Amino acid sequence: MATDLSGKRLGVLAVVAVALFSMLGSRLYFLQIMKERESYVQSIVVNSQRTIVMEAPRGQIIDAKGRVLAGRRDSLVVTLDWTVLRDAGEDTRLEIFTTLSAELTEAGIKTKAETLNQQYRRAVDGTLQPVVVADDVGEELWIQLSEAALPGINVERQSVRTYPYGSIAAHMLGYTGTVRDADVAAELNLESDKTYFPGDELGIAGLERTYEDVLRGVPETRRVEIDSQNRVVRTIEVVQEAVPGLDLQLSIDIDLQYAAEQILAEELASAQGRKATKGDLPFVADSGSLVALEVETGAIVALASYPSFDPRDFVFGISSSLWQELSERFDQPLLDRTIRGTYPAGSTFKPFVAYASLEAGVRDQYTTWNDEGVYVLESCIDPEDRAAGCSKQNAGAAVMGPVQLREAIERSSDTYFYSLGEQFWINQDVYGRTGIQDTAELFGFGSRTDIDLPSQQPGRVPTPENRIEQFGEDARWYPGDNVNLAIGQGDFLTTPLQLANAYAMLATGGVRYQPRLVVATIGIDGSSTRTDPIVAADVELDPASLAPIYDGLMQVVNPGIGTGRGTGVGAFTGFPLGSYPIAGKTGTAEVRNKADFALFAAFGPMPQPKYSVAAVLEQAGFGGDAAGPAVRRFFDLLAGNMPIPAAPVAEERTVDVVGLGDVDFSTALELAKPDFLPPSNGDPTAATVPPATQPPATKAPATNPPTTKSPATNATTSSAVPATTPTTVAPTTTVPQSSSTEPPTTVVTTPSSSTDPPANSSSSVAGSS
Amino acid sequence: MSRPGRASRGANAAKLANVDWALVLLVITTVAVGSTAILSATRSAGGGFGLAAKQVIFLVAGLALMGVVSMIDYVRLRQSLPVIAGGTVVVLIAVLTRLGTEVKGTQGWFILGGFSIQPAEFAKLTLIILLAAIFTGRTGNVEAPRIAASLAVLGVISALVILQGETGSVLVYCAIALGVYLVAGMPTRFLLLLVVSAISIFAVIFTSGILQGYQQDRLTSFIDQEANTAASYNQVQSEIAIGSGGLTGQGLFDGQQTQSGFVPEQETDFIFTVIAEELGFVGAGAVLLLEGLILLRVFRIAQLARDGFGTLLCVGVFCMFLIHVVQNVGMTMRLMPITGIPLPFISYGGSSLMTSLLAVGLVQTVAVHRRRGLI
Repeated sequence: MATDLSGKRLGVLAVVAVALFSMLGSRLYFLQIMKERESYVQSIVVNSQRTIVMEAPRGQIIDAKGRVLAGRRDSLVVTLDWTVLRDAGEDTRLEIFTTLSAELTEAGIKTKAETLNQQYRRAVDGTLQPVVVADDVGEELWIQLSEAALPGINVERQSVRTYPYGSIAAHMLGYTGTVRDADVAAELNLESDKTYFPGDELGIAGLERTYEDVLRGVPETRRVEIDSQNRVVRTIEVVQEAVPGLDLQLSIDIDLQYAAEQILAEELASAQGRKATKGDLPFVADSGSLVALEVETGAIVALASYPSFDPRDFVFGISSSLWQELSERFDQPLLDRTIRGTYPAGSTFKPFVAYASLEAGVRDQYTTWNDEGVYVLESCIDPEDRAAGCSKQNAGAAVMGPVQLREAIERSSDTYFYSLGEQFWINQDVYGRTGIQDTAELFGFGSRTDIDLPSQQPGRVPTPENRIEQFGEDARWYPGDNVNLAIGQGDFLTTPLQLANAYAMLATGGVRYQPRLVVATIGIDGSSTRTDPIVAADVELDPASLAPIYDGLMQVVNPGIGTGRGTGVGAFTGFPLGSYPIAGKTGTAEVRNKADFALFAAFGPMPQPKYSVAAVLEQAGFGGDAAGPAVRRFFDLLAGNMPIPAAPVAEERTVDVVGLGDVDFSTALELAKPDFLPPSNGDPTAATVPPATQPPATKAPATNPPTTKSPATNATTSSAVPATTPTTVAPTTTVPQSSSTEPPTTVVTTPSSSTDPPANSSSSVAGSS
Repeated sequence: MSRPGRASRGANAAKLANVDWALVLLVITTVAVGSTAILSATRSAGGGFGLAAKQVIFLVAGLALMGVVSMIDYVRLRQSLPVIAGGTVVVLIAVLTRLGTEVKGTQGWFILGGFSIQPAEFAKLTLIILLAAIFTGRTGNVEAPRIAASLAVLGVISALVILQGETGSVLVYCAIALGVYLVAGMPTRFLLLLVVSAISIFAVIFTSGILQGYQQDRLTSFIDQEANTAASYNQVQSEIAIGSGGLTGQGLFDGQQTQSGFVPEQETDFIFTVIAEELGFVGAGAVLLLEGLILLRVFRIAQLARDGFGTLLCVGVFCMFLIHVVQNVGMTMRLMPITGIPLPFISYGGSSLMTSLLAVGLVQTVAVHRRRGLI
């Protein structure tokens, strides 16, 4: 081995050098001469120009008197500019986060450096916008952070939501969340022309959701020139001026709404104190609704759902733990029961059956029915066999004797309506196969009210046909199903709002309006655009048929014009019915394994009703005891018998904990889509709780074939005991199904034995007061 | 040299005549171009003439040093090998102690009176001298000990520099060693073996976690060009700048990427980008041409050296410049991963420029003390 002076090896070195230089030269030639220079120049423009999008102020929601229910205020927020932080390098970045988290924590906003780093990492993956890491910081912290001059950390002014009345009207107002990531934004942008970016505010529930497009302003878009530190050098052009969102004016008076919520809460509380009547099932009375609307416009007066939540918890991003608590609590505070709770109507359904009967000519108003306290189905082969569901009795086993229609309504005779129900079925070739159901649908049962709120339930009007559609060919319809339907039980389900609106239609004599909350939109210049009432149905109800029903309903509450034994008399004692006549009806709905649900629906003042009010108190006992007083007390306010208390203004909240903003609202959003179809296996979703546990299986032939021996109903106590084999009753209840627009059905159709006819009718045929 | 006299005056005149003036001129021209680019890269960031002026001062000082080295007969270097080797090791250890300072993740700097000195740069010259000496000793053809000794030298210096966290220089050391081995006549199979081992060692280093996060990022982003790291961002910005230069560039001091600071480290590692953006293919090509001509002169002197030692010295310098240019320019055009290797005579940096000028000094002394006529 010796140095090769002859140059052979040197030659190799030269060749290598020339090859490498050629590589450099050709690459340079490729980049600078061959490649389209324009594309690079374009990249520079992209580089040095940024489009800054700033959300415009969100529209406010005000009540009928102009009081702000959902407002806005300026808040100082700390943002993180990921482009700068990225270039800073990991060590510097962590240092910045440590300093920032210390500053924030000292200022009372508990933050961890790791949380900030997580937010940063998420931002790098998705967004161009600065990321808000702390909301609502004080001026002091602002000054401190400005002095600290942490690269990539800025303090900006942002508009945030306020809910001055706290939890009052929470369900109708709803809440907002932030667009989590670019994927969500992209999906939203398919549907809206007001472009969303990650981090933007978005209505998730209630009116915030329904009117998202109205409330959301058009964001300001400007092109700016920036340097490599992301500092804005100048504004090149304002592409789009900010246009604030429109304000919404509601039909409700917040004081009345507050009163409705108070009344509901108080009546639930006092129901809890009463002694249970049905077996040993206690009056849990932990939830309910109160609905009031104007019959001549559909305008909502009050929509109270109990329990409730506080939308202020959502303003700065709800914490995962609170979100979990709210969405999983057994009494479902996030659930708007007025539109999503579905209940058997119980006896509040009777006026509609009466109307169907009068119209069809099943029984005229003067025909006397002898109420013996017990009704034995004609369809039963052996009438003496009273055990197998062939015999049904009045609530409390009352015996009323001869009654005509008015008194049957007044005293809520079940046997009167049982017999009507069976007659409809027996003579279906005369009255039609679905005489009762057709009338129910005429009044809006079984379809959504189309109120301007998201995710409402349609309830259910069961027919032989839709039962088969739902449960299969084997799901037969029995005469007993018609009998149950006649008192609003069976598979029949309604939302409180549907019930109130059906009574409103009864009150108007045939016009049913689409219930609505928003009566006007108001522009930033103060110009107001009123929305006209929308007629949902306009039919000529027969005044001759309505008259006895009106009479009966008025007798329910007014002892002076009836027998004095009306089921609502107690609730309306002391009410000036002379000057403000009211027509109403109690309902006591049977729900398996639960204490009775109390209902009351009413309208007044007669003869020109203005308001329709309905209340449903879950597991609270007799309608006349629990729901009646709630409706009465609300009418006290409407009639001016009592002063309306002022709704208290809640304290303004500031944030003390920085949420990661990582709560996934997507399921809640899904829910809010009007045409949302339930997932096949009905998985629990964010907005609601999984359906209450269902008892296993269940089949209750409404009328057992007489040959089947079943334990006899104990006739002396409550007829609530299902008149069938004890283990096989399907609950038909109010369980608000989580994500489903389908009626919350809980029926399982697996036959447990071949002799049992498959059925799904709900349990308890029985007494309604 | 210091002795005055007719004879020595005559000898000095001969020496001056033997100086490769073309190389001197090329070097000065290149540094001038580089300083202009430094000026463009730094004035927008508020640096004014500061760094460019400093670079010119380094040039003057470096040229003086180069002159001194040119006049010393390189044969004398062989007598000082222990001093050169020992001194280098001491300095490389010292920089790891409290005497040294960490800059940008590298514990490789002495800060002295406003100047920062990076010993890893100067160690390149030590390596060149030692390797050249090892392979031209008078001990005959005992090859294995020579190879062992050369590997030991390479290993010790590399290890000390890796301890600083400066991996880029090791790449240069390896390139120098390879070049010297090649020209020293190492059998091809040994060469291949060495290349393979070197690659394996780099692979081990890359996967073992010795590398710091940012170094890992740089290599990862080079392998996976879509990776969204700061490193790939830098290279994308650099490519955009170069591409937007076109044939004649956006004009000196007018490069948008350069002037708004989108190209990182643009006065040092990414200086080529500045020239390519502002002066286009013409300017960048000219820089490559200048570097190529410098290499050509070094190569020519290697050919004309009076002995193997002289040739190998020049080969070492040649390889050093070559790897610097290829790696640095390649990096700006996304041909190479990012390393902190400067572009000789162009990038801002005292140690780098001094080392380059001293290296030219080594080449000049070989030229000055050659036997045959120039070219």
